[in-house]
Amino acid sequence: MTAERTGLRIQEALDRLDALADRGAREAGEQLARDLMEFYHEGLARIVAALPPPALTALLDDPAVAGLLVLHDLHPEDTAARIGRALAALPEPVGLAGFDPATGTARLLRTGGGCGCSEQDIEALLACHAPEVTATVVEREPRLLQIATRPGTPAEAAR
Amino acid sequence: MSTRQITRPGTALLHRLREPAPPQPERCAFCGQGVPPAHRHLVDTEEQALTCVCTACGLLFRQPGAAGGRYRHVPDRHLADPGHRIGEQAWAALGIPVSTAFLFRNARQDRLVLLYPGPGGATESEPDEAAWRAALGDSALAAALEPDVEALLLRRTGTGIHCLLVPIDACYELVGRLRRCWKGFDGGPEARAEADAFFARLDERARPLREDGPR
Repeated sequence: MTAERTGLRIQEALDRLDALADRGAREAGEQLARDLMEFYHEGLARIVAALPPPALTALLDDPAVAGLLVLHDLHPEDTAARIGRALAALPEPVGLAGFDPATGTARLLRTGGGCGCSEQDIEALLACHAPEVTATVVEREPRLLQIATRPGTPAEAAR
Repeated sequence: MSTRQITRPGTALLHRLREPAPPQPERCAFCGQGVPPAHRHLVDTEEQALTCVCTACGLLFRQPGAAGGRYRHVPDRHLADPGHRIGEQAWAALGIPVSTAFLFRNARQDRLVLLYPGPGGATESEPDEAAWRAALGDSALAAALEPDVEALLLRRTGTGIHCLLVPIDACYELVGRLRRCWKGFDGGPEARAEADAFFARLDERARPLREDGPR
Protein backbone atom coordinates (compact mmCIF):
# COMPACT_ATOMS: atom_id res chain seq x y z
CA MET A 1 0.00 0.00 0.00
CA THR A 2 1.54 3.30 -1.04
CA ALA A 3 1.11 6.62 0.75
CA GLU A 4 -0.92 7.91 -2.20
CA ARG A 5 -3.37 4.99 -2.13
CA THR A 6 -3.68 5.22 1.65
CA GLY A 7 -4.35 8.93 1.37
CA LEU A 8 -6.99 8.39 -1.30
CA ARG A 9 -8.74 5.79 0.84
CA ILE A 10 -8.75 8.13 3.82
CA GLN A 11 -10.12 10.86 1.56
CA GLU A 12 -12.95 8.54 0.51
CA ALA A 13 -13.78 7.80 4.13
CA LEU A 14 -13.73 11.53 4.99
CA ASP A 15 -16.00 12.24 2.04
CA ARG A 16 -18.49 9.73 3.44
CA LEU A 17 -18.31 11.46 6.83
CA ASP A 18 -18.91 14.79 5.07
CA ALA A 19 -22.14 13.39 3.72
CA LEU A 20 -23.45 12.75 7.24
CA ALA A 21 -25.69 15.28 8.91
CA ASP A 22 -23.40 15.56 11.91
CA ARG A 23 -21.06 18.49 11.25
CA GLY A 24 -18.52 17.27 13.73
CA ALA A 25 -18.11 13.89 12.00
CA ARG A 26 -15.56 15.08 9.45
CA GLU A 27 -13.44 16.80 12.11
CA ALA A 28 -13.62 13.71 14.29
CA GLY A 29 -12.50 11.57 11.33
CA GLU A 30 -9.56 13.83 10.61
CA GLN A 31 -8.61 13.89 14.27
CA LEU A 32 -8.67 10.11 14.35
CA ALA A 33 -6.23 9.93 11.44
CA ARG A 34 -4.05 12.66 12.97
CA ASP A 35 -3.84 10.93 16.31
CA LEU A 36 -2.96 7.56 14.80
CA MET A 37 -0.30 9.13 12.58
CA GLU A 38 1.14 11.01 15.53
CA PHE A 39 1.28 7.79 17.55
CA TYR A 40 3.02 5.89 14.76
CA HIS A 41 5.33 8.83 14.11
CA GLU A 42 6.67 8.78 17.63
CA GLY A 43 7.46 5.08 17.58
CA LEU A 44 8.84 5.20 14.05
CA ALA A 45 11.13 8.12 14.92
CA ARG A 46 12.64 6.11 17.79
CA ILE A 47 13.09 3.04 15.61
CA VAL A 48 14.83 5.07 12.87
CA ALA A 49 17.10 6.73 15.43
CA ALA A 50 18.03 3.39 16.97
CA LEU A 51 18.70 1.52 13.68
CA PRO A 52 22.35 1.15 12.64
CA PRO A 53 22.74 3.30 9.48
CA PRO A 54 23.54 0.33 7.18
CA ALA A 55 20.38 -1.45 8.30
CA LEU A 56 18.31 1.65 7.56
CA THR A 57 20.00 2.20 4.20
CA ALA A 58 19.26 -1.39 3.21
CA LEU A 59 15.53 -0.65 3.59
CA LEU A 60 15.46 2.54 1.55
CA ASP A 61 14.88 0.95 -1.85
CA ASP A 62 11.63 -0.56 -0.62
CA PRO A 63 8.96 1.86 -1.88
CA ALA A 64 6.69 1.17 1.11
CA VAL A 65 9.43 1.94 3.62
CA ALA A 66 10.68 4.96 1.67
CA GLY A 67 7.17 6.38 1.34
CA LEU A 68 6.51 6.00 5.04
CA LEU A 69 9.83 7.58 6.06
CA VAL A 70 9.35 10.50 3.66
CA LEU A 71 5.83 11.12 4.94
CA HIS A 72 7.16 11.23 8.50
CA ASP A 73 10.21 13.38 7.66
CA LEU A 74 12.44 10.54 8.82
CA HIS A 75 14.15 9.66 5.54
CA PRO A 76 17.92 10.11 5.95
CA GLU A 77 18.56 11.16 2.33
CA ASP A 78 18.04 14.43 0.47
CA THR A 79 15.69 14.89 -2.46
CA ALA A 80 18.29 14.28 -5.18
CA ALA A 81 19.42 11.02 -3.60
CA ARG A 82 15.83 9.84 -3.25
CA ILE A 83 15.01 10.75 -6.86
CA GLY A 84 18.10 8.70 -7.73
CA ARG A 85 16.66 5.69 -5.88
CA ALA A 86 13.36 6.04 -7.73
CA LEU A 87 15.10 6.21 -11.10
CA ALA A 88 17.42 3.33 -10.29
CA ALA A 89 14.38 1.08 -9.85
CA LEU A 90 13.26 1.68 -13.44
CA PRO A 91 13.86 -1.01 -16.06
CA GLU A 92 15.66 1.43 -18.35
CA PRO A 93 18.30 4.02 -17.52
CA VAL A 94 16.84 7.43 -16.67
CA GLY A 95 19.12 10.06 -15.18
CA LEU A 96 18.41 13.17 -13.14
CA ALA A 97 19.47 16.35 -14.92
CA GLY A 98 18.27 18.64 -12.17
CA PHE A 99 15.58 19.33 -9.58
CA ASP A 100 14.14 22.73 -8.85
CA PRO A 101 12.69 22.75 -5.32
CA ALA A 102 10.85 26.02 -6.02
CA THR A 103 8.67 24.54 -8.74
CA GLY A 104 8.98 20.87 -7.79
CA THR A 105 10.13 20.13 -11.33
CA ALA A 106 12.59 17.32 -11.98
CA ARG A 107 14.37 17.27 -15.32
CA LEU A 108 14.95 13.68 -16.30
CA LEU A 109 17.27 12.36 -18.94
CA ARG A 110 16.28 9.26 -20.84
CA THR A 111 19.40 7.59 -22.05
CA GLY A 112 18.00 4.25 -23.08
CA GLY A 113 15.83 3.26 -25.98
CA GLY A 114 12.80 4.81 -24.40
CA CYS A 115 10.47 1.83 -24.51
CA GLY A 116 11.29 0.12 -21.23
CA CYS A 117 9.05 2.16 -18.95
CA SER A 118 6.13 4.54 -19.11
CA GLU A 119 5.76 7.99 -17.60
CA GLN A 120 3.37 6.37 -15.12
CA ASP A 121 6.08 3.99 -13.94
CA ILE A 122 8.41 6.92 -13.31
CA GLU A 123 5.71 8.88 -11.50
CA ALA A 124 4.69 5.95 -9.32
CA LEU A 125 8.26 5.48 -8.13
CA LEU A 126 8.75 9.21 -7.59
CA ALA A 127 5.54 9.27 -5.55
CA CYS A 128 7.05 6.78 -3.09
CA HIS A 129 10.62 8.03 -2.94
CA ALA A 130 10.36 11.75 -3.68
CA PRO A 131 6.79 13.08 -3.54
CA GLU A 132 8.15 16.64 -3.56
CA VAL A 133 8.60 16.11 -7.31
CA THR A 134 5.34 17.51 -8.63
CA ALA A 135 6.31 17.89 -12.29
CA THR A 136 8.66 16.10 -14.66
CA VAL A 137 10.32 17.12 -17.88
CA VAL A 138 11.78 14.19 -19.73
CA GLU A 139 14.64 15.00 -22.05
CA ARG A 140 16.30 12.66 -24.45
CA GLU A 141 19.99 12.55 -24.81
CA PRO A 142 20.64 12.57 -28.58
CA ARG A 143 24.34 11.83 -28.26
CA LEU A 144 23.65 8.67 -26.39
CA LEU A 145 21.26 7.49 -29.06
CA GLN A 146 24.24 7.25 -31.34
CA ILE A 147 25.74 4.49 -29.29
CA ALA A 148 24.58 1.86 -31.66
CA THR A 149 27.59 -0.33 -31.64
CA ARG A 150 26.87 -1.89 -28.28
CA PRO A 151 24.40 -4.60 -29.33
CA GLY A 152 26.85 -5.53 -32.04
CA THR A 153 29.48 -6.87 -29.71
CA PRO A 154 29.79 -10.62 -30.00
CA ALA A 155 28.90 -11.37 -26.37
CA GLU A 156 25.70 -9.33 -26.55
CA ALA A 157 24.72 -10.69 -29.93
CA ALA A 158 24.93 -14.23 -28.60
CA ARG A 159 22.11 -13.61 -26.10
CA MET B 1 9.65 17.85 -24.60
CA SER B 2 6.92 18.95 -22.24
CA THR B 3 6.34 19.29 -18.52
CA ARG B 4 4.08 16.73 -16.93
CA GLN B 5 2.35 17.97 -13.83
CA ILE B 6 1.81 15.31 -11.19
CA THR B 7 -1.00 15.60 -8.67
CA ARG B 8 -1.08 13.37 -5.64
CA PRO B 9 -4.19 14.24 -3.66
CA GLY B 10 -3.79 11.22 -1.36
CA THR B 11 -0.22 12.09 -0.43
CA ALA B 12 -1.15 15.74 0.00
CA LEU B 13 -3.93 14.74 2.41
CA LEU B 14 -1.57 12.59 4.47
CA HIS B 15 0.93 15.45 4.66
CA ARG B 16 -1.83 17.81 5.75
CA LEU B 17 -2.96 15.35 8.44
CA ARG B 18 0.56 15.27 9.83
CA GLU B 19 0.28 18.99 10.63
CA PRO B 20 -1.47 19.98 13.85
CA ALA B 21 -5.20 20.52 13.39
CA PRO B 22 -6.14 24.11 12.60
CA PRO B 23 -8.07 25.68 15.47
CA GLN B 24 -11.72 24.82 14.99
CA PRO B 25 -14.27 27.54 15.50
CA GLU B 26 -16.40 26.76 18.54
CA ARG B 27 -19.79 25.36 17.72
CA CYS B 28 -23.20 25.51 19.30
CA ALA B 29 -23.64 22.25 21.21
CA PHE B 30 -27.25 21.99 20.08
CA CYS B 31 -27.40 22.92 16.38
CA GLY B 32 -23.72 22.62 15.42
CA GLN B 33 -23.65 26.14 13.98
CA GLY B 34 -20.28 27.92 14.34
CA VAL B 35 -20.42 30.60 17.03
CA PRO B 36 -18.41 33.85 17.22
CA PRO B 37 -15.64 34.13 19.87
CA ALA B 38 -17.93 36.18 22.11
CA HIS B 39 -20.80 33.70 22.39
CA ARG B 40 -23.07 32.76 25.26
CA HIS B 41 -22.94 29.67 27.43
CA LEU B 42 -25.35 27.39 29.21
CA VAL B 43 -24.52 25.58 32.39
CA ASP B 44 -25.17 21.87 32.08
CA THR B 45 -26.20 21.21 35.66
CA GLU B 46 -26.02 17.44 35.19
CA GLU B 47 -22.46 17.39 33.86
CA GLN B 48 -21.36 20.47 35.82
CA ALA B 49 -20.01 21.93 32.62
CA LEU B 50 -20.32 25.00 30.43
CA THR B 51 -21.82 24.45 26.99
CA CYS B 52 -21.37 26.84 24.04
CA VAL B 53 -24.64 27.97 22.55
CA CYS B 54 -25.65 30.11 19.57
CA THR B 55 -28.04 33.01 20.06
CA ALA B 56 -31.03 31.16 18.63
CA CYS B 57 -30.61 28.00 20.71
CA GLY B 58 -29.77 30.12 23.75
CA LEU B 59 -33.16 31.80 23.48
CA LEU B 60 -34.90 28.40 23.59
CA PHE B 61 -33.26 27.60 26.88
CA ARG B 62 -34.34 30.85 28.45
CA GLN B 63 -37.79 29.39 28.97
CA PRO B 64 -37.94 28.28 32.58
CA GLY B 65 -37.96 24.49 32.75
CA ALA B 66 -36.61 23.99 29.19
CA ALA B 67 -34.91 20.58 28.79
CA GLY B 68 -36.15 19.63 32.24
CA GLY B 69 -34.06 22.40 33.72
CA ARG B 70 -30.84 20.62 32.88
CA TYR B 71 -29.38 23.56 30.94
CA ARG B 72 -29.43 26.95 32.54
CA HIS B 73 -28.78 30.12 30.62
CA VAL B 74 -25.83 32.14 31.90
CA PRO B 75 -27.00 35.75 32.38
CA ASP B 76 -24.95 38.69 31.21
CA ARG B 77 -25.10 40.97 34.24
CA HIS B 78 -22.05 42.23 36.12
CA LEU B 79 -22.87 43.78 39.47
CA ALA B 80 -20.87 45.55 42.13
CA ASP B 81 -21.92 46.56 45.61
CA PRO B 82 -19.80 49.58 46.52
CA GLY B 83 -21.34 49.76 49.98
CA HIS B 84 -20.20 46.30 51.03
CA ARG B 85 -16.74 45.62 52.43
CA ILE B 86 -15.01 42.39 53.25
CA GLY B 87 -12.51 42.71 56.06
CA GLU B 88 -9.05 41.14 56.07
CA GLN B 89 -10.10 38.85 58.88
CA ALA B 90 -13.13 37.57 57.01
CA TRP B 91 -10.95 36.98 53.94
CA ALA B 92 -8.38 35.07 55.98
CA ALA B 93 -11.13 32.87 57.41
CA LEU B 94 -12.13 31.80 53.89
CA GLY B 95 -8.71 30.11 53.62
CA ILE B 96 -8.05 31.10 50.01
CA PRO B 97 -4.34 30.54 49.28
CA VAL B 98 -4.20 32.92 46.31
CA SER B 99 -5.48 36.44 45.69
CA THR B 100 -8.48 35.47 43.54
CA ALA B 101 -11.38 33.08 44.07
CA PHE B 102 -15.01 32.64 43.09
CA LEU B 103 -18.00 31.24 44.87
CA PHE B 104 -21.21 29.89 43.45
CA ARG B 105 -24.18 27.91 44.67
CA ASN B 106 -24.69 24.47 43.19
CA ALA B 107 -28.47 24.13 43.20
CA ARG B 108 -28.61 20.39 42.54
CA GLN B 109 -26.34 19.59 45.47
CA ASP B 110 -27.58 22.59 47.44
CA ARG B 111 -24.12 23.66 48.50
CA LEU B 112 -21.67 26.48 48.03
CA VAL B 113 -18.62 25.81 45.90
CA LEU B 114 -15.44 27.84 46.23
CA LEU B 115 -12.91 27.69 43.41
CA TYR B 116 -9.62 29.44 42.89
CA PRO B 117 -7.32 29.60 39.87
CA GLY B 118 -3.95 27.92 39.71
CA PRO B 119 -1.48 26.33 37.31
CA GLY B 120 -3.70 23.27 36.86
CA GLY B 121 -6.92 25.18 36.30
CA ALA B 122 -9.56 25.71 38.97
CA THR B 123 -9.09 24.11 42.37
CA GLU B 124 -12.20 23.43 44.40
CA SER B 125 -12.47 23.81 48.11
CA GLU B 126 -15.40 23.48 50.47
CA PRO B 127 -15.91 26.93 51.99
CA ASP B 128 -16.39 27.02 55.71
CA GLU B 129 -20.06 27.94 56.16
CA ALA B 130 -19.35 30.29 59.10
CA ALA B 131 -16.48 31.99 57.27
CA TRP B 132 -18.60 32.46 54.17
CA ARG B 133 -21.47 33.89 56.20
CA ALA B 134 -19.11 36.32 57.94
CA ALA B 135 -17.58 37.49 54.67
CA LEU B 136 -20.57 37.62 52.35
CA GLY B 137 -23.64 36.18 54.04
CA ASP B 138 -25.27 39.55 54.61
CA SER B 139 -24.28 41.14 51.29
CA ALA B 140 -26.83 42.18 48.71
CA LEU B 141 -24.71 40.58 45.98
CA ALA B 142 -24.95 37.18 47.70
CA ALA B 143 -28.69 37.65 47.93
CA ALA B 144 -28.91 38.46 44.21
CA LEU B 145 -26.72 35.54 43.14
CA GLU B 146 -28.41 33.10 40.74
CA PRO B 147 -27.44 29.51 41.55
CA ASP B 148 -25.27 27.58 39.05
CA VAL B 149 -24.96 30.39 36.51
CA GLU B 150 -23.52 33.32 38.44
CA ALA B 151 -20.62 33.63 40.83
CA LEU B 152 -19.20 36.03 43.35
CA LEU B 153 -15.70 36.81 42.16
CA LEU B 154 -13.36 37.90 44.92
CA ARG B 155 -9.99 39.56 44.55
CA ARG B 156 -7.62 40.77 47.19
CA THR B 157 -5.45 43.72 46.16
CA GLY B 158 -3.41 46.37 47.96
CA THR B 159 -6.57 48.45 48.37
CA GLY B 160 -8.74 45.77 49.93
CA ILE B 161 -10.94 42.87 48.96
CA HIS B 162 -13.18 43.43 45.99
CA CYS B 163 -16.28 41.46 45.14
CA LEU B 164 -18.25 41.36 41.90
CA LEU B 165 -21.25 39.33 40.86
CA VAL B 166 -20.39 38.00 37.39
CA PRO B 167 -21.59 35.38 34.90
CA ILE B 168 -19.96 32.09 35.81
CA ASP B 169 -18.40 31.70 32.37
CA ALA B 170 -16.36 34.85 33.08
CA CYS B 171 -14.82 33.06 36.07
CA TYR B 172 -13.82 30.07 33.97
CA GLU B 173 -12.43 32.40 31.30
CA LEU B 174 -10.26 34.00 33.99
CA VAL B 175 -9.12 30.57 35.20
CA GLY B 176 -8.19 29.63 31.62
CA ARG B 177 -6.28 32.87 31.06
CA LEU B 178 -4.34 32.58 34.31
CA ARG B 179 -3.54 28.93 33.80
CA ARG B 180 -1.66 29.74 30.62
CA CYS B 181 0.74 32.18 32.31
CA TRP B 182 0.79 30.93 35.92
CA LYS B 183 4.26 30.70 37.46
CA GLY B 184 5.23 29.76 41.00
CA PHE B 185 2.93 29.85 44.03
CA ASP B 186 1.00 33.04 43.41
CA GLY B 187 1.02 33.13 39.60
CA GLY B 188 3.88 35.58 39.18
CA PRO B 189 3.92 39.01 37.52
CA GLU B 190 2.56 37.80 34.17
CA ALA B 191 -0.52 36.19 35.74
CA ARG B 192 -0.98 39.27 37.89
CA ALA B 193 -0.93 41.53 34.82
CA GLU B 194 -3.40 39.21 33.07
CA ALA B 195 -5.70 39.32 36.10
CA ASP B 196 -5.36 43.13 36.33
CA ALA B 197 -6.46 43.52 32.71
CA PHE B 198 -9.31 41.04 33.15
CA PHE B 199 -10.63 42.74 36.29
CA ALA B 200 -10.33 46.16 34.63
CA ARG B 201 -12.67 44.90 31.88
CA LEU B 202 -15.08 43.46 34.45
CA ASP B 203 -15.06 46.69 36.48
CA GLU B 204 -15.95 48.61 33.36
CA ARG B 205 -18.99 46.40 32.75
CA ALA B 206 -20.08 46.22 36.37
CA ARG B 207 -23.08 48.31 37.43
CA PRO B 208 -23.85 49.09 41.04
CA LEU B 209 -26.54 46.84 42.47
CA ARG B 210 -29.74 48.67 43.32
CA GLU B 211 -31.57 47.75 46.48
CA ASP B 212 -34.47 46.31 44.51
CA GLY B 213 -31.95 44.11 42.67
CA PRO B 214 -32.46 44.30 38.90
CA ARG B 215 -32.79 40.87 37.38
